[in-house]
Amino acid sequence: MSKTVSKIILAVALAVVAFFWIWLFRYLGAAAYWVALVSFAIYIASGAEGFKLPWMTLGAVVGLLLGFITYAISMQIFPMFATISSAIAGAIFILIGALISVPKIYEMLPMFLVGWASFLGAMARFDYLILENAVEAMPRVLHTLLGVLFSLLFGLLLGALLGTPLLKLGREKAESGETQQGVI
Amino acid sequence: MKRWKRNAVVVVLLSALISLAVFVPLGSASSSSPGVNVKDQELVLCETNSAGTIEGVQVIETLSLSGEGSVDVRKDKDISGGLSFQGMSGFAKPSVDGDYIVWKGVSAGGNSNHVATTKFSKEQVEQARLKIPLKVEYRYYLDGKEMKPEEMKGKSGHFKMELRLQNTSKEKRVVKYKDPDTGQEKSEEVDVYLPLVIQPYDWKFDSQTFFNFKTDPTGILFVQPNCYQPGWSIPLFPPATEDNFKIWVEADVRNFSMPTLTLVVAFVFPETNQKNAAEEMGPALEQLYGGIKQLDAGLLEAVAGVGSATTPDTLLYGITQIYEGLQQVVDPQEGLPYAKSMIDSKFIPGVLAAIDGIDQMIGGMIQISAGLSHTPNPPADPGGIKEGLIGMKNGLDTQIIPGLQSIANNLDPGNPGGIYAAVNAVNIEFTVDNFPTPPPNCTMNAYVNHNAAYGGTMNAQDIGLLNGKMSGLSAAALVPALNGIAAIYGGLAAPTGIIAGLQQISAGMGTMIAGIGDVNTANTLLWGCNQVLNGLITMKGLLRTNSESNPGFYEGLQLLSEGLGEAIAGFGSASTANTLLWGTAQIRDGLTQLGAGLTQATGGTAQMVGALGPAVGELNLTLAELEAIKQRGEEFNSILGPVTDPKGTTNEVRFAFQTKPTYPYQESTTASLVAIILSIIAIIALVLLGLFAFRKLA
Repeated sequence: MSKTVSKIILAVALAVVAFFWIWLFRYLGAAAYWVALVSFAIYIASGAEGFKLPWMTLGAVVGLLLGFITYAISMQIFPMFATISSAIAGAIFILIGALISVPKIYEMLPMFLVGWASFLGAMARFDYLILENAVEAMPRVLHTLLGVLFSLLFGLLLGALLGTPLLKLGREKAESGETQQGVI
Repeated sequence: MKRWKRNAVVVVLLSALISLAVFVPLGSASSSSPGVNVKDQELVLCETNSAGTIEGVQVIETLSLSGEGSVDVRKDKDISGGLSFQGMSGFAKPSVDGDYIVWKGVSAGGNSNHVATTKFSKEQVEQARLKIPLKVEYRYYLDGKEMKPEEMKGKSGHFKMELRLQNTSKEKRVVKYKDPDTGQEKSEEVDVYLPLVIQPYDWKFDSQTFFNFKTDPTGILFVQPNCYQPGWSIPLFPPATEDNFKIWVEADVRNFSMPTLTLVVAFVFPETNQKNAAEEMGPALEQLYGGIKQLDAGLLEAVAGVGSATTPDTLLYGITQIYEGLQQVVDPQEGLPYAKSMIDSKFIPGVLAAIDGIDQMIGGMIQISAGLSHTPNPPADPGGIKEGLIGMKNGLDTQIIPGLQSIANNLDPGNPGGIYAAVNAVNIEFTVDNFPTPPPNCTMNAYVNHNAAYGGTMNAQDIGLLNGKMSGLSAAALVPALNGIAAIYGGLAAPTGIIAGLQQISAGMGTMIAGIGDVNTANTLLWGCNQVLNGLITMKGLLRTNSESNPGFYEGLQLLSEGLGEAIAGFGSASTANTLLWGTAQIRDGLTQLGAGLTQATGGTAQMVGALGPAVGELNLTLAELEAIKQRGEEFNSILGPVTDPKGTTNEVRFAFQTKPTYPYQESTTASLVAIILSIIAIIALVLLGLFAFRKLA
């Protein structure tokens, strides 16, 4: 299979899966369907290396939990409309701190940040509810947490199941072509 | 390296803190400034269950400042128990200080809003329930059966929801209003409500779930591309409205779920762009009431003025008199028809007869004039009376009287040459009167002798003639003759004698002639006749001119007759349309009806006065009630407590009631479990895949 063919297969498969994901995500208890696409893209962008999956999964889960904690604490401490600003500031802090001290940060960081930001982003969608539909705003937190978690992991799983083999295949093909060309 | 890392961590921490400080607005200094205007607004978010019972309360407190400087704002704390505030747009927030809620040192900075929120505890929610005078009750029906919306979730059928709202703020207050009858201020204790306006806010019913959506007639339905959005504005402030109201929606539903239902509630007097009928009508009704009273009095006077046919000095009496007078006027026996018939049958023929008579009189007068005087045409026509009289007078003056005077002169005893003297001379001869004493047997001779003795003469002839007989003759004949002559003379010449009589006759004739005179001599018979004639001619001319432009009496009578005919026709009768009598009868009947109508109208005006008086009083009372309601609305300006410092702060409170929706914003437990299980599976799969890849790589 050529690199082009494998990419086409990947693109088509991604499109089909994305279609059904977007369509069915609300029935799967998910929230923020776009998080899955982001995590898929991050996985592919980080090389689609399968051995990174446990660290990326850990980074996603931890990032999500830290996002939740950040949100919860900021809602208690900070003024409500400043929550996102404080979260961003916190994220920068975590980013820099992680860059200099956390082991396996290279594997964990992308999904860590995606998990963090996705939760805050998903919750930011409900800012308007705080005043317009206050009865809905806070109860959405847990559901959003679970939905973002599922969406993060689904994106990674999608990347692992579709991206890794197809891109690996294409890459190996390309590498063997380069070798043969070099031999010749 | 480790030291470098530690330093770097410190730097990062500081950076993070600084960035937090940059992103988060902070509260400012605590100095106060008197030049800051403050407005305090509370939004009370009431979370309700699906039936509308308040289960949670969150108050969002907004402090709007304008001016320069900072200020401490102190509110009464009307809710017991602790309150914890959280800033919403900054760190500035109030805190509880004893019985007050205090914003310390909030800065205006030109214009600024400081927003904080607090959530009530269960006890405070209960307090809020008691303080909020509005009862909200939702009822849900599916296919006619009442059930909770949670029980309907996912079902299909015909859905109906009712929302019952009741203003429970009634309390007694004394209001003052103007009594329309006395004009005095009156006090009355009435039930006064808080003014209340409720607006279902942003109700959206998914058009994939709801079909054939309808609202009650007071709602306005907007059909959006993806939802039905009904809207209402519901004021509840008796007496302007009822104290309760019910709205409803219904639709066919499939896979039912219920959205959040929000009611925004303001206890304010609803100001609209509608004309305030009460305020406009009030003075107008008062004026109307005054006018009706005057009208009533006027109608009573009018009724009295119209009166009746038997009441003197009333309109109906007058018109009846006119009608009866007109009937008399047209009465054939004594009215205008009679006058016309008299003119036609008597006057006009009379005038014609008069004209004929005048003609005859003119002829007579001409004849009289001619009889009195006209030029004679001898011998057949000797002339008129005047000419005859002239002739007679001339005869008298020239013939008869001179002849008689001549006779009288001859008979005059004093005329020595007259007959008397002659006879007397004879007589003397024969009388014995000359003898002083006639002898008793005096003889002629003796007598002559004797006479001669007295100087008488007598010749022989005389003596012969007398011859014995003279003596007898003298006594028997001459003396009577002398007496007769003297008597004739006396008859002729005496002042009352014939000559004088004839002279008088002549004079009378002269007078008669002069009296007859001529047509040119004034005050003469002929002049008079001429005048009479001229008068008769003039009269005739006046009696009949045969000219329409210059009518005479005859023509006048004809015109009068014609006029009377037309007048009679004009007077007509009560049954002949377009005649005076008909009109008068109509006026009389109209006035009778008018009187009856006015009497009825007075009944109506009396009723109106009777009804309007209390109505105006009620309206005035209502206006006073509305003013009291407005005042209550202004007083109900806070749930946490009004700002007492600074003075003059404006306080407002608004409420929002929100039900929890039944659509999956929380998702079902099942959905959450699915998400958790799938997430765990995904984690396991990813770890396994990672391990597999790691091993393969290794």
